Amino acid sequence: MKVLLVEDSKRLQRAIGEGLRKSGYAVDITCNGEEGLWLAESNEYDVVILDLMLPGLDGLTVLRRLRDQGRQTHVLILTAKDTVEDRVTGLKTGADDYLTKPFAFDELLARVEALIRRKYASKNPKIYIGDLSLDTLRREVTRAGRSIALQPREYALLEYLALRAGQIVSRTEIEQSLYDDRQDLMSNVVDSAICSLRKKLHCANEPELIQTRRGMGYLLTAEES
Amino acid sequence: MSSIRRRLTRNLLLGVLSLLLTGNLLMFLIVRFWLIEQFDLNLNTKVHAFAQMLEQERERVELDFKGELMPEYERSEQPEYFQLWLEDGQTLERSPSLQQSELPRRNFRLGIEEYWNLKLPDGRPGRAVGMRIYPEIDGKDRKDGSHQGAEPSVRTNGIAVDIMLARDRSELDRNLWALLLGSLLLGGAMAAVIGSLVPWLILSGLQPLNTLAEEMRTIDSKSLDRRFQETGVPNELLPIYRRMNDLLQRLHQAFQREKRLTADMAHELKTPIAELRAMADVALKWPDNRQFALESLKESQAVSLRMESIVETMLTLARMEGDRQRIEYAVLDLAEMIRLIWSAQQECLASKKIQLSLKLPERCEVRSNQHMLGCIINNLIDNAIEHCPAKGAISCELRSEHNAVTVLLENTNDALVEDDLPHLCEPLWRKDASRSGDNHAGLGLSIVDSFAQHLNLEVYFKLPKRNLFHVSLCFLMEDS
Repeated sequence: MKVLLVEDSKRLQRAIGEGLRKSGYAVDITCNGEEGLWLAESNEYDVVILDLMLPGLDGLTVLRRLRDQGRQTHVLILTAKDTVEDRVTGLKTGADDYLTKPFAFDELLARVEALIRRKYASKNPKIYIGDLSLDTLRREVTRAGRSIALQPREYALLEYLALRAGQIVSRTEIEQSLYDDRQDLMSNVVDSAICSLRKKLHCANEPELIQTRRGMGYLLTAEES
Repeated sequence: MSSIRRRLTRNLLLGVLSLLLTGNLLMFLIVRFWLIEQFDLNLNTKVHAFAQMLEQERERVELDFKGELMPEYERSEQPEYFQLWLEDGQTLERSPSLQQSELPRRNFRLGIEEYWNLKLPDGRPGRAVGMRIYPEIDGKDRKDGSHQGAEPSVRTNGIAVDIMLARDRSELDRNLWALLLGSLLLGGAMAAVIGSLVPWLILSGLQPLNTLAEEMRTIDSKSLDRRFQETGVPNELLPIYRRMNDLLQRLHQAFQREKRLTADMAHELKTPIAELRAMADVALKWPDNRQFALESLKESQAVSLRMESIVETMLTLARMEGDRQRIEYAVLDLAEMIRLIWSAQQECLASKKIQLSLKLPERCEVRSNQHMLGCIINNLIDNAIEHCPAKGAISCELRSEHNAVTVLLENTNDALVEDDLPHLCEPLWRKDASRSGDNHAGLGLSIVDSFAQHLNLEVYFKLPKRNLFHVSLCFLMEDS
């Protein structure tokens, strides 16, 4: 899952960025409204976390321009402006959620997760694919009743595939959604991650859940090919 | 509760009703006096007619009364009465209408008519006239010609005769009662009309005040941008409308300032709190990330120092507002003070490649408070460096002429516009709406303004030309 953070406070950038990455998100960060708009126009983000008082271009203008272009990216406004008028204006301009500073990081994380679920039209925080179960709130994975320990990046990959279960997901889409500009992407980074995930999900006498479609990408399904 | 309308109504009613009552009473008294005078005039004519009818012949006085000419003294119904006495009290003549009764005699004065009310012999209320005269002396009895043609009343010899006439005054009393009743009724009716007219007139006269009150009632903190319409307002209320509009303007500005201050304060304090909390939350959630925790601690220290600085400055401003503390003055070398402050800023100037032009005299003495003046100069210079773009220019000049010392500070500034100037000294005001950056919080010029007011200095901000910000700090020296 990929998140864009547009926030001018360096300390908040560092803390939120670190927390989101630790939670398995790929995070792009900028402190400037103009750059934020450019990034949001150029990439496909699952969620944009947007401050309102920004140098360059204010957050409401960024949001308005995104919506004017017809972009459906989920936007969470994170601001010190806390009056009812500010909230109403933000939501009416096209924000999907509004969180005022100061905030609890867990709340921000929960709201980001909720927006992601909304994006993939899933209201249930638990995803079931055959005997595989993902608890997106507790970030726990079980298969056939057996708990599987995953690294944050592996979990993010599995969650991304699970949210698009039954669909073929290309390598490029995975790269764009799970890796931010801090990672130096090698050509086989996605293949390696898929390989590692397959091993952890492997269960004797059970079908492989992640299938490769040569030249197209990967498919997470409980049905045997 | 005091009410102009009630007070005006009460006072006006009291005044008008008093005038009405007095006027009515006066009118009644005048008409009454006139009616009685007319009644008495009639009696007077008759008494003089009787006087003319008297004649003295030798030692005898005779009355030439003819009943057919004066039937009122003979009739039995509603008669009039007369009685004449000689000075020894003997009745000379009396009207047939008296029959057996007598009129009550008084001591009459010679030639002077006296009028009084009395009860007539038949029981009716009456009015009488009486006078003493000396009757006309028959011509053949006249011893000399001295009394020839003289008024009987003014003669002083002969036989004195007292004449008394009395007549019914019931009609006069009726007329007087009718007059009194008419006056009372007219007064009452007029009082009723005035009583209902005066409050209505006052109410309509005070309507513009009610309109003003109603308009004021609808103004609250959210509608302070509204203004009272001055067209069609009575001249007496125009100054009030203008003062009210001025007051609303000032209130609106004050509210806007307070609103901005609250929003700025919220941002200045909420953002660092959010930073502290986010860093703490993430550090606690992933305690194994020691590098992040350590950096967060360092950042937390920087955040708390900045917050402390903001709070301290705000408290200083609040204290300065509320308390004119005792300020200790000393003679200071302002030129040296400015030189020292600039020398401490050399590193900043070099890092931004700012060109500095300093024009300071060798020595310039002013009487001021060292700490407060130092703060003012320091903040002005900090501000100039902070807002001067890289490779910009700053000029600082100290002028001492006549009785004034002026510090002139100019710096390149491409952000400010004329509309920003009134806000420069507002606490926490920043040109940058995003309020990014930790270098300043928008309190420097507030401190300058507050300290300058306490030291009786004058600070002016100008944009003399594009990209140039100008500050003047004027010391008005006392005449030696």
